[in-house]
Amino acid sequence: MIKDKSFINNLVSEMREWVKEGLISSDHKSRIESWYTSADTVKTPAPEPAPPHPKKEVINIARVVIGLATLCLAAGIIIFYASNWRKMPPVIKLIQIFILMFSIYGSAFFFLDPKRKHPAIGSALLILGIISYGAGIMLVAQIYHISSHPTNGILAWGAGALIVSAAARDKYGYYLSALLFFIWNLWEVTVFHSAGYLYIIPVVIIAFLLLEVNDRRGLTGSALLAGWYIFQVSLYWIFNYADDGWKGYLFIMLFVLSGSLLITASKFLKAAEELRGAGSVFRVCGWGLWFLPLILSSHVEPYSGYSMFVWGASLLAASVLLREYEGYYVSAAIFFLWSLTETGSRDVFPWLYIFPVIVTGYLFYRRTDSRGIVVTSLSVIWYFLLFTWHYASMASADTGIPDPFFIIMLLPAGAAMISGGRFMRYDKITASGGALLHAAGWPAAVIPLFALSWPFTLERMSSLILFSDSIMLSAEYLVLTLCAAVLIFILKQKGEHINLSALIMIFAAAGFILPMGHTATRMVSLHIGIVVLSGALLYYSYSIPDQYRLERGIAVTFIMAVIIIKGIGFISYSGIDTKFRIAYLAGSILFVTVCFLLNRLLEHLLENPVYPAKMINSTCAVVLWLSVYFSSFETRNQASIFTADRIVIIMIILFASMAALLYYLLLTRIKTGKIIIYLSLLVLLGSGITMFMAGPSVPWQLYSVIFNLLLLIISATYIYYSTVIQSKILLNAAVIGFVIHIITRYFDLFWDMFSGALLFIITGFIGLFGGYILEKKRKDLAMQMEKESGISGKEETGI
Amino acid sequence: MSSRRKIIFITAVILQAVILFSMIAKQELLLKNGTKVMLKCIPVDPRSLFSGDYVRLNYGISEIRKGETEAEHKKFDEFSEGDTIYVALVKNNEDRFYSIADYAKTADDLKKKYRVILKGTVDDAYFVLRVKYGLETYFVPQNEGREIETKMAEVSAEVSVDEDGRSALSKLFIAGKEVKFY
Repeated sequence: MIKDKSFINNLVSEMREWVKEGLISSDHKSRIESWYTSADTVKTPAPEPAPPHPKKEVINIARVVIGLATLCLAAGIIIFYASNWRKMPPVIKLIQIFILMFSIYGSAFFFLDPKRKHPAIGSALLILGIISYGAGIMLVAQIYHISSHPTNGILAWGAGALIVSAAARDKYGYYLSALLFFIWNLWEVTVFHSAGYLYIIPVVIIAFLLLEVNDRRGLTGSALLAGWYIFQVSLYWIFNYADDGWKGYLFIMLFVLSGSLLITASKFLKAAEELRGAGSVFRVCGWGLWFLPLILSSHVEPYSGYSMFVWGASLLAASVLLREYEGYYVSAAIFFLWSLTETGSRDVFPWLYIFPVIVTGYLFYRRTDSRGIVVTSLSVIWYFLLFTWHYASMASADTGIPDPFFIIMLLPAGAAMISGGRFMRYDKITASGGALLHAAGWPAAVIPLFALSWPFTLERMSSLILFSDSIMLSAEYLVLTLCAAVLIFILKQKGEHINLSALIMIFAAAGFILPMGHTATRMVSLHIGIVVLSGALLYYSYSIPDQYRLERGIAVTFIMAVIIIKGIGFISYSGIDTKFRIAYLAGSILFVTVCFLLNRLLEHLLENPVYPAKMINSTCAVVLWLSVYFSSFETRNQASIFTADRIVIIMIILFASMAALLYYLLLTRIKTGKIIIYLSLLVLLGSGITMFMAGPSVPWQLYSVIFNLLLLIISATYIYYSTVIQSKILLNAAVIGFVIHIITRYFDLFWDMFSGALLFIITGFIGLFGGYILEKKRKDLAMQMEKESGISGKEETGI
Repeated sequence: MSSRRKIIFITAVILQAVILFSMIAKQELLLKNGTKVMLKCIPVDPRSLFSGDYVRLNYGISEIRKGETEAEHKKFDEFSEGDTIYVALVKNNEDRFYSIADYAKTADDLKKKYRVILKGTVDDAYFVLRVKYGLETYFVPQNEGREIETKMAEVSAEVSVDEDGRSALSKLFIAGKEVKFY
């Protein structure tokens, strides 16, 4: 049964006639129709029956002979030419080339006639004809040794090819002509350094001819060639006419304008189906033109200067007019580059930079582009850095200290950024930019605390409130602090928790009033700041976690950085300034004790289970152990602490007071774990007393005995404490510390007393025995811990 | 193909033939009517001498040195790369070769004083003016340029020059004997 679609369609139309004629009723018609059109009965058309087997052709002997003869003749002609071409007189060669050309074109003419229905052969012959014409040109040049301007030959070839292709309306001929003209142009431009202005004529003509034959691919190619033309002419202008003055600016605007025209043209072209590809090419070329000033700027003016500004401004204007939104980003990047080169190469403050930042920021906001606002936020930070660095450098001309001005300025900037960032979160569009400012504000705010809290002298730096070193810097500081204050007030009105932002703002205000060039003032204020900020950050971020998600990370990083950086600082100073070695190391012990006590107090106050108390404790423990360990070596010729700078005594008093306050608070509040507090007090007092006792007349053995004892107490405390908090890591670390202590001390004492060999032999025995005892004890303790914590299993004990 | 198109096609093909023919005619006329001038070829770096199927020729007149006088210096400095240059050629007394008597930016003044003027293009203007006349390439059958290359010191060329300074290479000689490849 035949049930293919075409059959059904025919049947339906036939049935209409049958109904009209009364052969069948309309009911019959619909029944037949539904029977045929139901889904399961419709089949895809059956494959066409194979055509009947072609009749076997009778072998025509004449055809075979003619075919073979043609082949022989062709081979003979080729061989004849190959062997005789050189010996032929030029006239014969020329006549032959003319004959060849005419015969090929004649055949092409014959086959290109639509009646023949062999357009492909016609096209092929036309191409062959064009090639034979080119061969003729080359032959003439060869015979007459013409070498003056070789491009003329290819131009004549291209022109001839174009005319004959246009006559035949053959697209492949157009392609070949386009290729020939392109080679001509490339040759002219690269070898003869000409501008190649005339090249556009063949490109346009070919494009029109291709439009006439509706060749989409060819039109896209033409657009590409036109793009190339524009690019080449522009480069020629840049290298020959552009300068770093008004001509250069005019060129930049011209490039941007031409790019805009191309982009506009691309929009129109894309509307037409066959010009869609050409439209895309034009758009890319337009963008290429927008980027050309980069080459211009680097060519005419290595320091770029205002040409970049002109570029950014024209590109931004063009993007706005053409609604090319990506252009906003590009112009923002150009302005950034401009500011960078102005500052980097010419040492000029690009004060104008703020205007493009504001304009692009407004445009991004109007487009509700939150990514753009992030770019704007980054630009604002960049502007602040440029501004501050510029005026800090200027202030340095008088004071010789640019860095401290620059660094101190980060404090109010941090306050403004944190509060501003939080404020920006209220708007969906600016939220991402706000998050960026908020995140960047914290490092900015804490950098001054780290960088300036060292006892270097900055005597020539006076208080910012006096407006004496730099009016601009003082004004900037004040404005930033006031901005922060206003923003914090607004945040408070909105019901936000503002204590941390306010704290930074207060620090900033203190930095404005206090004479930061005065070492004692700076050291005391910044250290108080560090301790207070550590406590406040940890306390608020863990007690109100929903308000301070970001601050939690900042808090932990900050306190860890404080302990590590200050620890390294103290230990390093003890190695450099050896006559106050004990003093520095005792100072380190005092500092780390304060951090430890602060952490314990916060641990007690906070009931947040994720608060990383152990991590902070461990860091304190490591720094404490290292400080005591370095103090326990043979230390001679110590100067009395009372001969040190006044600032040392001030700092000791400051930290001792803090420690005392913290001990008081802890011992009156906590009920468990007091023993650790007492032990830490013992270490602190031991090292503190030794520090005050130290002097030139004190024998080194005294320090050694005291600190070795303290080190033993610390190791013992850690081992004990590891059992209290059930920490295998602490246990292992304490044991390692203890072993290091014993071994180094042993060598320290006995190195000079025995011969090397004997020392090592004895050491070996002691080591083996001591190691056995120690390991046994350690394992016993670890096993005990595991039993207590309910974990069993052999693998677990293998620590 | 419409009859109009047919006519256009035939015209286009004829035009191509005309272009070819005009190229031939121009050279033939120049060779026939131009003043014959013998030029001495000078050896050049043999590595660049022969490439593919043509020989690069360098002439005694290809280089113009700076003169000694102030005026000569001034004239020399007027030229830069890519400029058109006209050189006046005079026959040497001791041999049959021609050499440069004077040069200028235009041909008019030279024409008044000299009979043979050759047009060229300045290829390089630094210590010397390096001039190209369009006579620097001599096409030879493949692999047959070696002979010319090895005997470059004895190579000379006959050139046809017309009144406007246009020139064409007509014959090549090795040790006074014409080179013919066909």
